Amino acid sequence: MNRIRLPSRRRFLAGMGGVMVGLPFLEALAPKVARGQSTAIKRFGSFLCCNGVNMDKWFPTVKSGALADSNLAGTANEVLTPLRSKLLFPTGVHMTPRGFDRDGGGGDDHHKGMAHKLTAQFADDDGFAQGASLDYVLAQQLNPSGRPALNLQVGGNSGDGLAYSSYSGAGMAIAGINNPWNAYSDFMGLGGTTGGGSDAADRILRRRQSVLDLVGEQFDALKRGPLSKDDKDKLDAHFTAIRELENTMTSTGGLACASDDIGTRASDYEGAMKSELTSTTAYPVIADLQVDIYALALACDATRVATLQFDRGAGGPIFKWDGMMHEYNHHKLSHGKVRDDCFGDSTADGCDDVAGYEDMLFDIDVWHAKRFLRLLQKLDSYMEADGKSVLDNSIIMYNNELADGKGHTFMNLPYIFAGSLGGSLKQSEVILLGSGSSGDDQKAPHNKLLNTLLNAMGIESDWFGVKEGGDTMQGGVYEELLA
Amino acid sequence: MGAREPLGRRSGTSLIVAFPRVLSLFALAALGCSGTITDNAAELPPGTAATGGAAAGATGGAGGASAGKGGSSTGKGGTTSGGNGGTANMTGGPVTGVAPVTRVARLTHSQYQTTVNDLFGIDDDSTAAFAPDALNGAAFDTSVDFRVDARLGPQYRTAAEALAQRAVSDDAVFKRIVTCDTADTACPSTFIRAFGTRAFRHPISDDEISRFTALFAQGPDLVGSGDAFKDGVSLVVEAMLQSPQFLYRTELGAQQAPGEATGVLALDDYDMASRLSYFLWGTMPNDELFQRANDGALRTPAQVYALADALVADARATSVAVSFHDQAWAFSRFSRISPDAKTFPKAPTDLVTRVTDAAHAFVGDVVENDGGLRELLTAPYAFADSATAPLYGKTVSGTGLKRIDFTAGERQGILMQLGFLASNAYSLKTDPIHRGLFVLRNLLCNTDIGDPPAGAAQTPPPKTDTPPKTTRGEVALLTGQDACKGCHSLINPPGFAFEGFDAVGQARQDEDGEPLDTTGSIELDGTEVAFKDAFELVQAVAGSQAAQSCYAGKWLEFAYGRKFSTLDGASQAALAASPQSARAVMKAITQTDAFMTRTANEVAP
Repeated sequence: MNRIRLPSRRRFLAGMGGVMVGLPFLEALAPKVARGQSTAIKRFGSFLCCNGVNMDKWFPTVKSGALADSNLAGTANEVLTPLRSKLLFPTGVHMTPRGFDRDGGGGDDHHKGMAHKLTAQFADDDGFAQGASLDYVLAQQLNPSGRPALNLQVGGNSGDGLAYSSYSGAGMAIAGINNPWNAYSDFMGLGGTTGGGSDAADRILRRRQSVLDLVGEQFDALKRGPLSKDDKDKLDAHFTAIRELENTMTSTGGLACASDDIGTRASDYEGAMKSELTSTTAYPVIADLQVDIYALALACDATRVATLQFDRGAGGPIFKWDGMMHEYNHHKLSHGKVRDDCFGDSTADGCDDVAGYEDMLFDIDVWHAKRFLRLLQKLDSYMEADGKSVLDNSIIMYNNELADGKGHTFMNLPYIFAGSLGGSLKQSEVILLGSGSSGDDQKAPHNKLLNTLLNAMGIESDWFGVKEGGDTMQGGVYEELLA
Repeated sequence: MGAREPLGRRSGTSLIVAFPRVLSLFALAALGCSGTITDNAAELPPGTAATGGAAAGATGGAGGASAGKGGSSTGKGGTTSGGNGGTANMTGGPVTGVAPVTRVARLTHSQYQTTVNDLFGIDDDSTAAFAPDALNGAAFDTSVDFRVDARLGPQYRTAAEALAQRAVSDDAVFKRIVTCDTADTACPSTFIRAFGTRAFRHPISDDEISRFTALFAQGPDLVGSGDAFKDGVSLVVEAMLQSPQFLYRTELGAQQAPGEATGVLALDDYDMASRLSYFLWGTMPNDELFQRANDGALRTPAQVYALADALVADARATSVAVSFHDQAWAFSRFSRISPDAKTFPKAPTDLVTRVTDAAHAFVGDVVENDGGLRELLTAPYAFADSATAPLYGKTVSGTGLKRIDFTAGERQGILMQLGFLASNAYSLKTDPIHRGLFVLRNLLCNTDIGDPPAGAAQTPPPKTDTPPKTTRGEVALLTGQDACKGCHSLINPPGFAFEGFDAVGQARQDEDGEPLDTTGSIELDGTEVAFKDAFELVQAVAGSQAAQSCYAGKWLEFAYGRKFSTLDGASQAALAASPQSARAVMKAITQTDAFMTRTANEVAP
C-alpha cells in the first residue's frame, strides 16, 4: 500500500488497544447473553452471488423432503456437507415483481436482478430499486440505537444500479464497503470499551461525550437559523446518527469487536486504492477477510444484520485462483460466450462459445459455496449462553441475482437458509415452494420469502415489497418453512 | 432577473434560437420515439429550456412538460431539498426567480478532503474510509443534497479524532494552526478564533469562542498527554471537525437583496467566498478570499467577476473543469473497455487507465488554452503515451503523456480519441448505438430517447437471405424492426459516423474488406443536417445552438449542485448565446442570479 495515509489513524487505534484486545469469544460472549438476554439475539445475514449458477449441478438431488449427505454429493454445495443438518433449501421460488423483462420496471435484466433481490421493488430507469431492502428494514428493527446493517462487498463499486442490492429507500442505494480495513475499523471500537473499565477507556468515553455535548449545541444553534423543514430534518438525522452512537458506546458490551488476526490482515488494505481492491490477486483474499469480518460483527453484536455481495450483476472477476485459470470473467462465462454482448444462443460474429464453460461455472459455484461454508463455520464456532451457536440463532441466506445466467432466468432461484433462528425454521430439508414445473412457475414469489424472513425475525408483516407489483406477488408467510 | 447582466451576453438572440429547439421536441415526440416520458416538469433536463423572459418562459414550460423526462415519479429525487423551484410556476405565468437550494450543503467527500488538506497543510486521504455517496439521481458529485447517515456519522468522528491527533503530533501542522505563543494566556482563544474561522469558513462568534475555550481547558483531564496546550488543541480540532459548521457549507447570513424581488437574498460575504472557492477551486477559501470577505469586497458582480477571473487561471480551476467534463461526458464508461487481446494485440492491457489519463490531459490542456466546447470537439490533437500512440498510428518515446498532433482529416476532438471510441465498443466490434446515444444524450441533452423496451437486448435480428457483412449492416437490420426504429432512426446515424474507427479506436478504411458507410443526418436546431463522416458531424454538432445550450445547462447543474430548474432558462440561454471558453463559462456562472443570490426558503413559522 503505497498510499499517503494518516499516520495517526492506526496509531490512534493501536492506542486504544488496551481496551480492544482480541478477547476469546467464547468466554466473552457467554456472560453477555446470560446477563442481558433471556432469549438469544436474532441475527440475519445475506450472502449474495451474481450472474446465476450452473443450474444442473447446484440444487440437491432430492426435489423435496429430508436432505441427506448423498443429496449434496456431486453438486456445487457438496462442500456444505459438514453443516448439512443446519441447512434448508427453499426451491421453486421466482423473482418478483414478475422478473426480468416480464415486469414494467426499468433497467435491464441484471439491473432488475440486483434491484429486486432484497427489495422486491421495481427498479427505475437507471436500475435503482424503488424501496428499502430487507436488511435495512431488519437493521432498523433489530439493531440497538439505530445502528446500520453491515453492508459488505467484494470487488469494485461501479456506481450504477448494477452495483447495489441494499437500499434505505426509493433510489437510495447503500454502497457496500469493499475495503476490509474500512469495514473492520468501522465497528472495532464498539463493544468492549466500557467492559474493560480501564482508565484509558473511561477517558476516551468522557472525551467523546464532552465533544459530543459541544457538537450537539452547535447543531441546536444551527437549527435555530432560517432553515427549511428539509434542512432541519437533514441535521436531525445527522445528529441522531452520532448521538445514538454515543449511547452505543456507553451501553453494556461484553465482547470487544476486535481481532488481532483480522485486524492485521485487514490493515494491508488501509488506504488502499480502488485498483488494489479489485485486482484479481486481491479478490479471493478480500473475500475471505470480508467473510471473517461479517462473522465477527454478528458474533460480537456490532450489528445484527449483515450483507455480503460478490462483485455485481453483469460483472465479476476473472477467476484465476484455487485451480481455476479462466480467461473470461464471470458474466461472460455465465453466457458461455467470449463477449459480454452475446445473448442466448447468438451465433453472431464474435459470439464464440467458451468450451467447457459449464464446468467453469460449476467451479465458480463451488468457490462461492466454500466462502459460504467458511462464514457458516465461523458463526457456528461462537457459542452462546443457551448452548446454541451464533449460527443456530441466526438465519444466513445464500441468494443469487439470477437463476440461470445464460438465459437470465428468474424461475427457481437458488436459495439456502442456514441456521434456524433458534429452532424457528426447519432444518436439513429441501422444501419445494413452487409447483415443481420447470416452466413458468408462478406459485412461489420471492417477496413472500422475504416476508417470511421478516416475520421469522419477529417483525409482524403481511407483505414485503411493492404493493402494486402485479398478481404474481403474494403476502403472508411460507408456513411450510417454519418448524 | 435583476440588475446583473452576465457579461452582456443576455441578448435576444437566444430567445429566437430557442423556439426551433422547443418545436423539435414536439416533432420527436410525434415520431413515437417513446421511452420513459413523464409529465414532471420540475426538473427539466438542461438544454430543453433555453428560454428566457416572460413570453418564452411559458413556451419553454409547455415544451418541457411534454418532453422533459424529469425526475422519475418513483421518488428518486426524494432527498433533494431544493432544485424544484420551477414547479409552481410551470402551471402558468412567466418563469422568473431563483430556484431554492438548501442552506446547509454537506461537504462532498472530495470537498471534505481538499478542505482538511488546506486547513492543515497536508496531502491526505481521510475520506477514503467514508461510506461512498450514491448519487441517487443527482447529475454531478457536486450535489448539495448529500446526507449523513448512520454509517457516515461515526466515520466523521473517526476522521476527526485522527486529524486531531495529527494536529498535535505533526509539528508542521501544529505550527500552521497555532501561530501564537503557547505560553500566552490569550493563545487558546486566539487559536480558536483563527482556526474556527477557517474551519467554519466564516467568523466564529464570541459565544462559540468561550464555549470552545471551555472545552480547551478540559484537555488535561480528557486527553492527559502531559502537554496541556496540545491536549486543548486536539480537543478543539476534534470537536470543530464534527461540528455542522464545518461539515456543511452553511448559508445563513443572507439578507434581502436590494432591488430584488421579495425573498431573493444577497449572500453573506463569507458565504460568497465559499461559493466561489468551492465552485472554482473545489476547496475552502484561501487567505485572500477570507480577506476579501472580511473587507466586504465580494458584493458587486464586478468584484466577484474580477476575482473569478483570477481564480480560473489557477490549476485548481483546471482540475474542477476536468472533473466537470469527466462527469458530463461519462468518462467512467471508459472502465468498460476490454478489447479482445488476440484481435487487438497493440492494445495495452491497462488501456482504461491510460485513456482516462489522456482524456483528462486533453481536457485540461484545452481549458488552460482558453478553449471550450468547440475546441474540445474539434481540436486536432490528443494526448498519448508510448503504449497508446501506436493505436493512433503515432510514436511517442519516453514515459508519460505527450501531445500528438493530427493532420486535417486524420482526427479531431475528444470524440475521435481512444477513450470515447473504445468505451463505446464491444471487445471485437464497434458499438454505433452507444456512440450515437452519446452524441444525442451527452452533447445535445436529448431526453426523448428512452431506454430500450424490455427484452430488447434479447431480440434476435430478423431472418434475411442476405446477412449483413458490416457492423452498420447488422445494427441497421437489428434495429430496423418496428419496435426499435422510432428511436434508432435517430440514434444510429451519429453513431455510424464513427465507423471509420474500430473497437479500440484505430482508424480503418474498411471493415474486414467491406467498404464503410459513415454518412447520415442529424437534426440540429430544428434542421436536418446531412454529414458524410465523423468530421462533418462533429463540426455540425460543435457549431449548433443545441450543443451550446446542453453544455451550458450541464455547467449550471455542476456549479449549483442541483438539477436544472426552469428558472435557470435565462442563465442558460445567456451562457449559450455564443461559443465561449470553459473558463469564460465558469466566470459567467458566477454572475448569474442563482449564484449571486439565494432564496429565503425557511419553513413558515
